[in-house]
Amino acid sequence: MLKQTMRCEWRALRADRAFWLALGLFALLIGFGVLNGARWTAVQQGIAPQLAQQAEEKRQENLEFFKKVAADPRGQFIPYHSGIMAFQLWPSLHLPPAPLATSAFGQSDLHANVVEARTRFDWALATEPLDNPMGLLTGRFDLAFVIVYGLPLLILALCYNLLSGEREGGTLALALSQPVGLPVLMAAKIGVRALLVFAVTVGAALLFLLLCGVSPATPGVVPRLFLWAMVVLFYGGFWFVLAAWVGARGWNSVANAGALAGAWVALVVVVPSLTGAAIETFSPAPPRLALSQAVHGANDKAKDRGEALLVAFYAAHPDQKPDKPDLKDFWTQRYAMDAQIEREMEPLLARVENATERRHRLASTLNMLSPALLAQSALNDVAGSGDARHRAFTAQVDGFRAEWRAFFLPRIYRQVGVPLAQWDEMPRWTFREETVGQVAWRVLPVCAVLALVAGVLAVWSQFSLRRYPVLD
Amino acid sequence: MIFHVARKEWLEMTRDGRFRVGAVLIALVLLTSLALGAAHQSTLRTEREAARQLSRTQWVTQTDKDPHNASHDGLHIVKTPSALAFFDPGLSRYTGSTTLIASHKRSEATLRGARDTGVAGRFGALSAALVLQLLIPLFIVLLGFGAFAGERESGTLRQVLAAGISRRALLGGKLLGLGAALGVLLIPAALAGIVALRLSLGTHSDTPGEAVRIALLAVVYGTYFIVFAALTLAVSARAQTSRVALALLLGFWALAGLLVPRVASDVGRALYPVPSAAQWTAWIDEAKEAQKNGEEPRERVKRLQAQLMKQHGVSNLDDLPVNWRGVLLQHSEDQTNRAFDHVYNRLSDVYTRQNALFDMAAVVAPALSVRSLSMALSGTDWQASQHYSNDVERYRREWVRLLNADLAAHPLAPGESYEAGRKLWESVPPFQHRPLAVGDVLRAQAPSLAVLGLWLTLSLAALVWAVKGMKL
Repeated sequence: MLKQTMRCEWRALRADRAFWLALGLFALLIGFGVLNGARWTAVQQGIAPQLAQQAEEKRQENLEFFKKVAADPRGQFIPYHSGIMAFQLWPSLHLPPAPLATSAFGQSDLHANVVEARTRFDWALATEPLDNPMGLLTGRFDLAFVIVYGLPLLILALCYNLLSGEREGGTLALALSQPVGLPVLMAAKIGVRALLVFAVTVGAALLFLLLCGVSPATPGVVPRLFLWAMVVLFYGGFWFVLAAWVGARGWNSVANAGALAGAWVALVVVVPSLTGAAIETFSPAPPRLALSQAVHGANDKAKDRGEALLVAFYAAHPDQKPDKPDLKDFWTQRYAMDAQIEREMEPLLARVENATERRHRLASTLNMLSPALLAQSALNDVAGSGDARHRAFTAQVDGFRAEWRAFFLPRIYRQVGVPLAQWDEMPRWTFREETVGQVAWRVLPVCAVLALVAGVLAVWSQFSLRRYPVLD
Repeated sequence: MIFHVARKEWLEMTRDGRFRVGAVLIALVLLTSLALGAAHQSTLRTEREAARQLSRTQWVTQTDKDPHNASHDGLHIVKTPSALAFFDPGLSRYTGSTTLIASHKRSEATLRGARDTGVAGRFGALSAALVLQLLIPLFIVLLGFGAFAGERESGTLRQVLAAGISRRALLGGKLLGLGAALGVLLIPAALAGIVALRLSLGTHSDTPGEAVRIALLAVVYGTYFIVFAALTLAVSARAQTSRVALALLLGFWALAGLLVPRVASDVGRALYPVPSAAQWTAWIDEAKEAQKNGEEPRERVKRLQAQLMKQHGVSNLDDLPVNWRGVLLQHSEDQTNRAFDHVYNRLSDVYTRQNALFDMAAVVAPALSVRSLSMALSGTDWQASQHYSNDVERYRREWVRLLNADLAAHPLAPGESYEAGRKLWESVPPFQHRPLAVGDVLRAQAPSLAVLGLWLTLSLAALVWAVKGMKL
């Protein structure tokens, strides 16, 4: 019976011009969102080759100079110091766009994706990307925006009067005189609309993504697309079920529209912004300003203690002491000072990291209050523009810094250069992309929560339909 | 007669459970936003004031050193939040909280608050301004969409007019009734806002014309609500059914409040792209090169030394009555300043062009002109941020000039070095920022004022036209 009812519903919808107009308009919005995302991704993808070229130029420049020093018969050049090399050759650490970056800007316009942080405190204070604050405040028109804000509006516009419209038009009683119950009628109406809405949403998104150069052959694209479709399915499913739940109350169409519009405003506008304000007010911000000032103060104090710090270091690490250490050497002192400042900053740095972590945990918990927040965070994760991937970047930057130091610091303290034969052993920066499993691990719980809420509402709707007033 | 109609409208609305629920919910959200805003701003003020004092202490108590080295080490300039930021935080989360000024380069404020608020922050942390810009118009729509259309559907419109009430009186009464309902909600909220302002500020205020700004904010928002009320009643008078009126008004609300701003933002980015980090560096390098006029640094130093010796009538650098290093450093600083003026003007031009698109888009979305005026009067808009940034830069230049002048005033014999101490550090005045005067704010906001005025005129004209030709 469900199949037959769906067929009837399909016939009715096929003749409904407004329905197709709404779907067409929505597909166009998807196209505009994808286009914006693609433009941004193209800019981001252009950064990696630029940085690689800059790094290679720097390397060649240093190599030439090194060779000149090595070949200098008069010894007019100072021995080429590892400290200078470590400083000169430190690469710009780049977080490349993820395979499906085109689908959501996420937090990428707030987090620096190219950093030159030689120390942990530099990283905690990393400069933010250049951008127009008005644009940052307004947000971007990307595919995620169309899904998070637009998809519910489309669903509510198509479903606010599923039963009430029939009742007000006098056709509900007629329909129910056939061997079909209200739950089946409701399921058929929702089912046909859901199939069409998802087909158009996923189809248009895939089409525009392909047209904008997202290749399924790129590793990670297909599974991420699958995860993206799952988020859309569960998020859209929640709104369909909500429309059904409101529709099962027995109110008239205008009241349904008002209730659904109110729910949309509450869940997509008010609760997320309230959550943002609550996080800001109740969870102390990471004390970055205090850290910045403390680094400044420690730097000032360390400057006069460079030599003493170096002496202390050699006393503690006699194995790294050269035969005749130059205690006045600027570079060796500089690294000894940085190490000292980093040690002094450790408690404050831990406070920054803990506060950041606390805020992330609180935000993740409060995201449960709104399906829009859940969907946005999941879509950001799929696109690789969320906080989690940036945290993975941070961890890898820390790892790279440790490798860099392990390579250079012993040589810096021994006040020797890096022999030509060892240049290729220098650590090189490459971001290790998250696995699809890691992304899925964050995205699937979101889908599960949405499914759970939708399931509860669906069961509730079934019970409500038993008392549905068929006649006005 | 108008008052009779208004009284009837008022009674109808207040007896309607939906009005009571809606009003209570909006009042709660509004009061919550005021309370959260006041608490957050109060915390920020306390933190920033402590940071400002620490910055001064660090400067005054820094070790004795070459004054130019002190300018390299830098100085933290901490931004004090605007007094009315609790009402409309505007761009304050996106414009940074501190600037580490130093010689040879212009720096912008960093450590944006938005970077630590997660996904929820991007939905726009709840503020009273957000409630007034988005929720109150929605409330007006829900209150007024059936004002004429509903009466027409139930057949009472014809009866009312047949009873001798003129269309003008009916219109006046309905507007007054709607205004009274809003007044009940907004007047206590405005009083709560003033209390929140006093609580967030404590005992002092640093925003000139605070009372005038509050009064102007009331006028701007009052006008905005009149525009929405007039549009709502006009659509209600002309729409075939109340359902159509509701659909049209909700569509306009979503378009104007959510869709158009993002489209304007992305079109702006596409037409006037913000430079990437690499391009920004290239801009700076180009501007610095242009300032050199093809002269090698070594040649420039020689030329300036020669000029200096000629000016003082000596033939040897050691005979100069000034420290030539200080003079040369200032010369180099002036050259770099010109380069930075060039690139920052270029960047400002990009932002200004992007922002002009928001002003243009306000022609179809009045929320944009209100947002712009609200931020400007609250001292949290782009202009206020630019004004602050320029003040910081002016201060930086004077600060560097003072330090270089001190160095120049201490000529040294070969082998001698000079270190300044606390006396010099204390002679540097602390940074003072005077926010823009209300007149300057209004002058800069002329486009937004004009657009809002246009909306007021057109919406009232549309209302008169709609009611005049209203079908019964």
